[in-house]
Amino acid sequence: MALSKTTVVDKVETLENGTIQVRTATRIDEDGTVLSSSFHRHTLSPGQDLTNEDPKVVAIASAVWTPEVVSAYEATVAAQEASV
Amino acid sequence: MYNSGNSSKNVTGASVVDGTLENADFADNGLSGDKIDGGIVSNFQSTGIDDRQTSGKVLYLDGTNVGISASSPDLSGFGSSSRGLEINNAQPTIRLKDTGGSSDDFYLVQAGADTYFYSKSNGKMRFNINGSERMRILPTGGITFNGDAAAANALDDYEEGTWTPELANGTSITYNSQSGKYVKIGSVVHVECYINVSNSSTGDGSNVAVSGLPYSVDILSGSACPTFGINIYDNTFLDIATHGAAHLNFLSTALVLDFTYSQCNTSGKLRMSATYRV
Repeated sequence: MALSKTTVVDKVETLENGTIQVRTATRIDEDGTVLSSSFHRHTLSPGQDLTNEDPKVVAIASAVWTPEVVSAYEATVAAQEASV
Repeated sequence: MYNSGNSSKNVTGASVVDGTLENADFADNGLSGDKIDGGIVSNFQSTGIDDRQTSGKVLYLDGTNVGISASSPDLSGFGSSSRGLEINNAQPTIRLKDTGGSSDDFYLVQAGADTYFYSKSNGKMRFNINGSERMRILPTGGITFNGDAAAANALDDYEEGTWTPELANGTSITYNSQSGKYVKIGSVVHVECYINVSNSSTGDGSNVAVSGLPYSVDILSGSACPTFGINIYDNTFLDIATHGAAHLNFLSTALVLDFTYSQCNTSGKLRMSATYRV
């Protein structure tokens, strides 16, 4: 009958342009059975600061965010901002 | 040990035991009627039945219902008119196996509090009512309705949660409150957020941008046209009275307003919503 609360990055999605979508799940469980869970999300753009990010996210970002990916993303953003 | 004559109950009770009647050869219909009445017939096979259970009973018939490991099959939990089959065992399971395919298996399982419709095949799961398909679960995920077979029309995701809005590009902003919620239905995301800030620098000429979105915005589709709204009754940050209505553009991970920080108040609230595709 022990209740516990855990927070875990349960989903990391990498998009074609290098953007990473991170889902953090907060779970309340009783003796291993999840009673409820809620989600919190955020997105990370290529080249973005990874301070305080989950190690899994950092590892994925480090692998995906090559200089080419970052520069391509920045070029896309610059083009978008020019059209704003 | 037995009498093949015509007197009734010539084979009954303890006379019918394993081994004793192994080689008995009754005339056709010789055991019809009540010639076996009472007692236990064990370890036997007939043309259609194979019962070599060494102990315990598995199958029960009570006149209206069939029980598997259920001595008194009871289906009244659904309604007093229910008749049929009860399986009362650990992880009771019904398996439907199509002999035409090696992996065309379907299991209906009750495991603890959870119920499983478990298909091992790679086909569709269809739900029909009165002969017409009303819902289909695609093997690739997603639900279609009313016979629609197109994967593009499958409702393949629903999620809701929170996100933390931030004002990107701003200078020395202090957050008094940040909260956001989202709902994703298929490929459409609806976000809402509330920000209460102070100490924003009005000397900053960069555009106000709300970042921290829960999903990246699809800005590449030719028809992409996100929409947004600002609650003017709960906006004291954008100086709309002076600078007019706000407009919005989207970057991949931010909502960009055509307001600069120099067109905003130093402190204030911003409550807005937006809908976009991913």
